[in-house]
Amino acid sequence: MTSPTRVEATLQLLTVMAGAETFGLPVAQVQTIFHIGAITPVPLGPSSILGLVNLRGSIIPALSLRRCLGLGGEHTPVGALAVALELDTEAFALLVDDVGDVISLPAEQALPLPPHVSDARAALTQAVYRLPNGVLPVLDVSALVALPALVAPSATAELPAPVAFPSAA
Amino acid sequence: MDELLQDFLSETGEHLDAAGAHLVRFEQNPRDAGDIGSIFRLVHTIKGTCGFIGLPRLERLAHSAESLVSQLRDGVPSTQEAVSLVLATVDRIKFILAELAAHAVEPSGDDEDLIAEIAAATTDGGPGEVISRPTAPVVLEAHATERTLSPMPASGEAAPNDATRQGGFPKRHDSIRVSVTLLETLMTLVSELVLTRNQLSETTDRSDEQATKVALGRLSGLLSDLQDSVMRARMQPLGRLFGSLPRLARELGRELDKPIELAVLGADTELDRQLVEVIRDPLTHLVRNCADHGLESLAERIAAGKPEHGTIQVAASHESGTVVIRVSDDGRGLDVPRIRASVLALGLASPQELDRMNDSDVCRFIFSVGFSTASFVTNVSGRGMGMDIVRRNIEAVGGSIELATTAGRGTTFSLKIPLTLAIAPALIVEIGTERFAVPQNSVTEIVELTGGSAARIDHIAEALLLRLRGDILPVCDLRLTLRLDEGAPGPEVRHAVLMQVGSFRFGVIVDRVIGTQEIVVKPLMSILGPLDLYSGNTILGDGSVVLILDAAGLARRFVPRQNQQGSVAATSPETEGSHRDPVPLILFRAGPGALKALPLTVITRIEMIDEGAIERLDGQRVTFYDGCMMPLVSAGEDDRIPATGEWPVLVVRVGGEPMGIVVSEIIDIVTAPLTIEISSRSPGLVGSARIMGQAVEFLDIMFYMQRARPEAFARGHSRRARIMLVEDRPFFRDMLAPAVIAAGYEVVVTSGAAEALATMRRSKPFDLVATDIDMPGMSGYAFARALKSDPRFSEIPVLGLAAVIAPAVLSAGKAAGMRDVVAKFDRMALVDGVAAVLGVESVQSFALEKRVLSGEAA
Repeated sequence: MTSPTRVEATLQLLTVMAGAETFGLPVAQVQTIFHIGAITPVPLGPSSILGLVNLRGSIIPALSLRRCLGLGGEHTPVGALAVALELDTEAFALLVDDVGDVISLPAEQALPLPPHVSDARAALTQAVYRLPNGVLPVLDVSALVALPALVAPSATAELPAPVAFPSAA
Repeated sequence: MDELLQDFLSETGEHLDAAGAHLVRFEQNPRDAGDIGSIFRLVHTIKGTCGFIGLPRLERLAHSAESLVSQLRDGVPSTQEAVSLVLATVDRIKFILAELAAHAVEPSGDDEDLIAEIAAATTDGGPGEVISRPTAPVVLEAHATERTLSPMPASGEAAPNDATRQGGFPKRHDSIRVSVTLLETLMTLVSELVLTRNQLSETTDRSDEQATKVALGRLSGLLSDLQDSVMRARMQPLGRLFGSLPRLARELGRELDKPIELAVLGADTELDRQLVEVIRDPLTHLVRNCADHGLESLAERIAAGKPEHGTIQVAASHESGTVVIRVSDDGRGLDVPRIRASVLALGLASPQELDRMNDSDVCRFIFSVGFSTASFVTNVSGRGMGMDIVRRNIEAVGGSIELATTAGRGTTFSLKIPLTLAIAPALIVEIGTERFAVPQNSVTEIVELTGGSAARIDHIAEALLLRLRGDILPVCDLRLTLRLDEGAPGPEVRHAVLMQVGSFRFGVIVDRVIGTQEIVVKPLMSILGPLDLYSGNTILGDGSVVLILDAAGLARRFVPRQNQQGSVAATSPETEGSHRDPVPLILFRAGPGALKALPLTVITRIEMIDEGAIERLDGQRVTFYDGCMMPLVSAGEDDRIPATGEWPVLVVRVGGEPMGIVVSEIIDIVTAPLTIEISSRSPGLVGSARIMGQAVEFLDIMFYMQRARPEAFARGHSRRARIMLVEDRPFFRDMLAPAVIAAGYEVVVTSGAAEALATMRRSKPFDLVATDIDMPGMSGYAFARALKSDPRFSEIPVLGLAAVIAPAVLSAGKAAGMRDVVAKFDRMALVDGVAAVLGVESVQSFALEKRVLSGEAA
């Protein structure tokens, strides 16, 4: 009786890297991982959009996780690694530095968002999970897309370093 | 067979099938309201549709059946005879339908026997014994068959009938119903096929395999046929949509207590079914709007001397790759003062802005969000969508909406809809390293911009103008507009892609034109936000993604801010209306003193001419220009041309002959209302005005023309036609009169219809009247009608002058008895129009040039 409940409460997360940080993306929303072949910029479009890419016949906009997080130091999009994410009916590509493993976490390991995380970062974070060796913030996919005409890479906000939590506080 | 007829047959077949069960029950229990209602709807629909597609026999029969069934429906007790008659009529209808299916025409003969019986049954209130319970099995044998077969199989085939049993099985239905989902799937597959074909042909372009190329060629041919067929399968005649409108009009008429007639034209015009659905609501709304606001009440119509029946006309036609639907009424026209008041009350524009707007700009406010005047809220049009939604729905599919209204005569809404959304031929252009697609239906021409070609770009401040065959078009450089590679130089030879949106023509400059390709238009992702520059995106043959430039969005970039209200149509330089319309003006310096100004429309070209290229001939300065001698005058007060350097010269044409006005510096091009605040007494100046906070003097172009081309004004003609030019605005008088005079006519200028009539009554006869259409007091249309109704003047041809030649203007002009309407910004159009009407050849500029030159030489 308890075991099905536990299965439902398990969260599968794809870990992705940007800068020195690791984030989780809900696997349910991940379509595929691919290298960007060519990208078409959208002149006068929102600055958060790097451009449009052709993913197996469908046109999807590409965002950069570094830019979303205000980290600077972006790679050129061509050849970059991207995660195709699905949101409602639309898809988009999120450029990341690297992808890691898929991990399963029991949902109850969610921690409350620490109060001193910056508002900008908190808005992008769906939840924070405890890992054996630290914490993993899970990105809110819809918040990434909803970011208002974002920040050119130069307008980097200094973000606090990832917070290491005392493991059982 | 006519597709409409085919649709009608398959649809009616279905109705008959559906009604089958009701017929059976009706026969058993003729008093069930549900059954009778269903039969009533059947005959009613048949009647409505056959009137529409021209089947008189069927219509007549259905009509009489309808009256019988409606009597039953209204509670007249059913008799055995009545039931039999209904069933017999249904059978007869089936017979006629079968004949129609077989021969595409109604069978000869008539149904007078049945109709007479029905008439007898309906007039005397139904003779015979009232049926209280089902009696004997009925009437025709055919009907018995029908009953045993019911309920019908779901195949869509109607029951066999007399004809089929007597004459074998004629082909019943040439069309079948296909689910929309299947059609959509087909369309998507074809779209994907097109993309794959494009990819393949890119690959084979690089290879030498002849066999592959041949096969690919065939594949391409077949594919485009397939695409055509699938596209046609998706096409629906607009009659589908229009069919319900007469009934809507009748209902609205009842509701509003106005007799309304609705006329439908071009119901066979076909449109992609997706689009038919898109325009259904807007169209209904427009008809409601016409009925409610457009048409006057019965009393008002009688008082205005109009026919009691208000007429709403819905007309569809194909116009250059689009479908145009015009919804017009013969009502009171829009109440412009009231709209102005509402605009103010809602704060949609400041009083100053509103003051500067002409009536047609003001009318477009009815398309703005949340707009309503008190009279706009009634129970008819108040519900449903607002005009802003109408506009948005139409623009969402790449269409546009325009309106034309004449007080007391009615309003016309014109919807322009693309034929299909799915696949469109597009021009692929390149700017910097990026490629873009431009839908071909908005492209009128591509011009190569080589340094010495006939087309050239003039810079005035930041505004770019393309001069092409005497036209001056606003253009923009997409490198700058899209902020692409601003630093890097473009190729030496660039191209201008000329486009037209509504009546507005403009161009965009691109680096290269790559070619054309069929593209599958995909909508932009919502994440990209409101980007009106693009109408979508697509994948090209090489797999790359390109954005599709939206002509309407580009057009909006050219429009001064206060005109951006409303639809794309608002971007067209329609300047019908008050003389306070903003006009493009060129500001320049000439001599000391205030800035000088001239309307840009007067100037055909701006040249830089070196002092060394100026020669003196017979006391006149000339330069060699465009293959002939061009006289030059200086706009400075002292008519001196500075001794050294290069100087800007404004080239003006006098009846086809160029003259140059030398100025010291071009300052800017602005769009400002042309209002002379202080008239001038000094020669060479019309007056002065304040533009953008600066005092500016308007040059009197006539003065300079006379100085530069005295011969054009004094040229003798053995038979000079006399022309009455009526124009209320001094600016246009000054612009048009010299052109007509220079073309060799005698011109009398008046500033209004009343003055013109008075002059005509006491002066020598005129050969032609050219009148502005939009004038205070008596409009040009009214003036034309007045002339036509006066026996002294009825033979004089009248030429209308309008700021913009919209179809509505043309037809109104023709209706008022005008020969033609020409654009008043285009002086040569006026001269040509005059010549065409008077049947004489316009003076050839070159011939004149020679004459002038020989005169100089002599």
